[in-house]
Amino acid sequence: MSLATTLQMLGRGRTDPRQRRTPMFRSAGFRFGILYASLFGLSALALAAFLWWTTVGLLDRQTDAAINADTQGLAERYQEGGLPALIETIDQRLATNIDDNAIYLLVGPRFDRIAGNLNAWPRGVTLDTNWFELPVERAGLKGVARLHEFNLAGGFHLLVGRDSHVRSQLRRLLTAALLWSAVVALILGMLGGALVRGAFRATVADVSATAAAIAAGDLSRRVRIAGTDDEFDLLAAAVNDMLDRIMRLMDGVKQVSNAIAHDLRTPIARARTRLEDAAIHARSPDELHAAIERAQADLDGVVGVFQAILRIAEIEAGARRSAFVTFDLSALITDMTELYTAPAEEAGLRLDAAIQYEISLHGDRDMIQQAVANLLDNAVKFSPTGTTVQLTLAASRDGVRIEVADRGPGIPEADRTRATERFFRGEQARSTPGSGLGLALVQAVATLHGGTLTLADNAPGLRAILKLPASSMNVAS
Amino acid sequence: MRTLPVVTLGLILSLVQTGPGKAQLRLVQSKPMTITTDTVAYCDQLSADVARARATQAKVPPDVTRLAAEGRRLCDKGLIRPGIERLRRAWTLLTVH
Amino acid sequence: MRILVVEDDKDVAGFVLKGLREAGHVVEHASNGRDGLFLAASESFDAIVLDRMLPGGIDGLRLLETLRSQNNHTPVLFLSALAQVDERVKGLKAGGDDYLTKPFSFAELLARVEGIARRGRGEGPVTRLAVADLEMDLLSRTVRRGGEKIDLQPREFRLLEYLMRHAGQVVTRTMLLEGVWDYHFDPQTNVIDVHVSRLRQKVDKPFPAPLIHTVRNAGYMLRAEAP
Repeated sequence: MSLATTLQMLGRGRTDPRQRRTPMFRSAGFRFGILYASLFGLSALALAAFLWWTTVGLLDRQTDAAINADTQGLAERYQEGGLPALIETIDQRLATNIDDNAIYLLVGPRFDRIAGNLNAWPRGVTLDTNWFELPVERAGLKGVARLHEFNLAGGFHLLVGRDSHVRSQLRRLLTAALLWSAVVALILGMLGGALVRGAFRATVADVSATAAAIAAGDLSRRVRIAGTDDEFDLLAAAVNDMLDRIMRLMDGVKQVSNAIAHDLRTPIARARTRLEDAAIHARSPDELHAAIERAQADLDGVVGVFQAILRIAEIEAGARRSAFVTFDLSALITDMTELYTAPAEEAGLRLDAAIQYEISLHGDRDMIQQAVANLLDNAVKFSPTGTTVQLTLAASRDGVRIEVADRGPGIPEADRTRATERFFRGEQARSTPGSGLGLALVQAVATLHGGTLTLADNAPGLRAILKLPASSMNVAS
Repeated sequence: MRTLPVVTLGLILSLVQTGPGKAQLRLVQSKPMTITTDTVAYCDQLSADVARARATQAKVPPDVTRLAAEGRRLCDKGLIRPGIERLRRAWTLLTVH
Repeated sequence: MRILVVEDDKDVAGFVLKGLREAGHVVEHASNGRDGLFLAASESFDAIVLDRMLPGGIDGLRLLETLRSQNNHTPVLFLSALAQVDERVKGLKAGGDDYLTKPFSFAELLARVEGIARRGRGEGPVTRLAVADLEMDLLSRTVRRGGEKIDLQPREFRLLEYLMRHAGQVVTRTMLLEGVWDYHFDPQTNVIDVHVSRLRQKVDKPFPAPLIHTVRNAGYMLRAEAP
C-alpha cells in the first residue's frame, strides 16, 4: 500500500524541473548571496566606524595638545617680552610652519588685527567660546580648523589653531573605502549568489530529474553523489537509500507475484484436479470424502503459504516494530530446545543445545520464536538419521548469535545467497514438503532486528547463523 | 532576514552623509575664512625675509639658496603652497639651529 | 449454549450456523452491525462470533466497543480476513477475547468459541481435574490413572492439564502451542503431534481405553469414550 502511495506521490508532480526556471529574485541561492553581501557590508561598516571613532579621537587629542602647548608658549612670550615679542614669535612660527597648518590671530581690545594669518576675527566667536571649529580657505582649498581662543592681559585676544585636514582626509578615505566595500560586497554577493544558485539548481535539478525518471518508471536512476561529503551529498545519499528501499520493495512485490503465479498454482491445481476427479470418478461416499479431505489439506497448505507471505511482507514493512519488548532470550531458546527435542528424537536425531544464560533481547518475541522454529524445522527435516543438530546461543560484544548446525545435505555454495529468497527451493528440498518461505522469513526477522542471517558450510551440512546486533541485547552481569 | 540588506545600505549611506567632526566641536560660522599666509603677498614677504637673512649671514648652507630659489619659482608659477613650503624650509634652516 | 453469530457473508454464516447447531448450541444470526448490536445488547448470550468488517455503518470493532461500554462482558470471538498482527492486537484491545482469521476450519472455530464461553463462565480455582479414570492433582502435581501413578515431565503435565481442562472439546495444534508453550507461530513440522504422541505413550498405552483422540483436520480431544 505504502509503495503504491509513494509512486502515486512521485507521479503527481510530473513536470520536468529542468524546464522550469526560477525567477532570479525568488531563487534561494540569490537570496543567500544578498544575505552574505549584507553581512559583509555590515561588518565592513562596523570596522570603518570603529576605525573612524578611535582614530579621529586620537587625532583631535593630538591637535588639541599641540594647540595648548603653542598657546602656552605664546602666553609666556607675552609675559616676558610684551606685545612686540609676541608679534615676533607669531611671525617666526608662521615663517617656520613647514606643514602649513598653523593658524594664529592676535587682536587688540577692539578686535583689530595685530598679527597672524587670519584676515579677521571670526564672527560668532565670543570671549567665552574657548574651543571651536572654523571653516578656512587656504589658496582656494577649503578645509576645517580647530581653534582655541585665549585672552591675554591688556585686553588682547589670541586665536591659535591647526587645520584638521588629516581628519578630513581620513574621513574621505574611510568613506571611499566603505563605499567601495559596499560595491565589492554587492558584486561578490551577486557572484556568490549566482554560484550558490547554480550549485543549488544543479543538485536540485538532479534530484528532481531522478524523481521524475523514477516516476516515469526508470527505477534504476539514482542521484549523482559528488563525493564532497557536503549537505548535498547527504541529501543525495538519503534519496538514494530511499530509492534503493523502494526498489527492493518493488522487487519483493514482483518476486511475490511471480511466486504466486508459479508456486501457488501447483497446489491449487492439485486440489482442483482432486475435486474434479472425485466428482467424476468417485464411486462411494468414502472415496468422495477422502478426496475432499485431501483437497482441503492442499488448500490449507495454500492458506499457510499466503499467511507466511503476508507475515514476511509485514515484517519487511517494519510494521511489527511496535511489538518490540525486552524478553529473556535464553529462556526462549531453552523452551525451543525442549519443544524440538521430541521431534528430533522421533526422527532419530540428537538435538544438542549450548545455551548461554541470562541473555535478554529487545525485539519481537514471536518473530524470534518463529525464526528459530524455522531453522530447527529445516534442520530436523533435512538431517539424516543418527546425526546431531547443534543449537547454540551465545552473546559477545558484537551481539547475539543464534546458530543451528545440522549434518544434512547443506546448501551448495552457488545457491546460498538465493536460499533466503522467497519460494527458493534447493534441489534437495524439492522432494520434501515445504513452501520455500522458511529462510526468507528468518532473513526478514533478522533484517527487522537490524541483524543478519548467514548460511555457511558445516562440512557436511548447513550452519545457519542468525546474528542480532548488540544494540538489541542485554547481558545480565 | 529580509530587512538586513536594507539596514546595511541605510547605515552606510547615513554615515557617508553625516559630516563627522561636526559632532564634537561647535562650528562658529559656515563661510570659510581666508588664511593670509597662503597668498602671493606672504610668498613675497617670506622671500624678502629669506633674502635679508641670507645677506646677514656669513656662511649660507647651499640648501637654503636652492630652497629659496625653488620657492620663489613655484610662487611665480602660481603654486603658492609648495612655494611657501620651500621658503619656510629655507627660513627654518637659516633661523633655527 | 446460546451463541450469536454476526456475519454478513451468507456462505460463511450458513456454514458456521449449521456447524454450531450440529454441535448442540442455540444460535442467533445477524447479518449487519446494527442488528447484531441490537441482539447482543437486548438478549443474553454465552458467546458472540463477530465479523470484523460488517455492512450497515457499525463494524465489528465499533459494535464491540459499544457493547463493552454498556458493561456487557459476553465473550467475543473475532472472525476476520485481516490477518496482520496489528489487526489482531486491535481486536483484542477493543475487548475481544479471541481472534480467528479467515479462512478457518470449523473445528478450530468451535474449539475457540467453547473455550471463550467457558472462560467467561468464570469457574473458580480448580485443584483437581478428572476425566474417566484419569485424575490430576494440581497441588501435588501428580497424575494417576486407575489409581496408578503416571510420571510426567513438567511440559507433559501442562499439556495434559490443558487437554483435561478442555475435555470433550476439540483442541487445535495452534491452541496447544499458544496455551502450553505460549508460542504464537506456525510450526512447519509436526512438533505438537510428537509431544502428544509421547504423552499418549504414558497416559493411554498401558491402559485398555484410549482417552486422547485425534480429530482429523482439526486437532485432539480428550474424552472418556468413543462416541
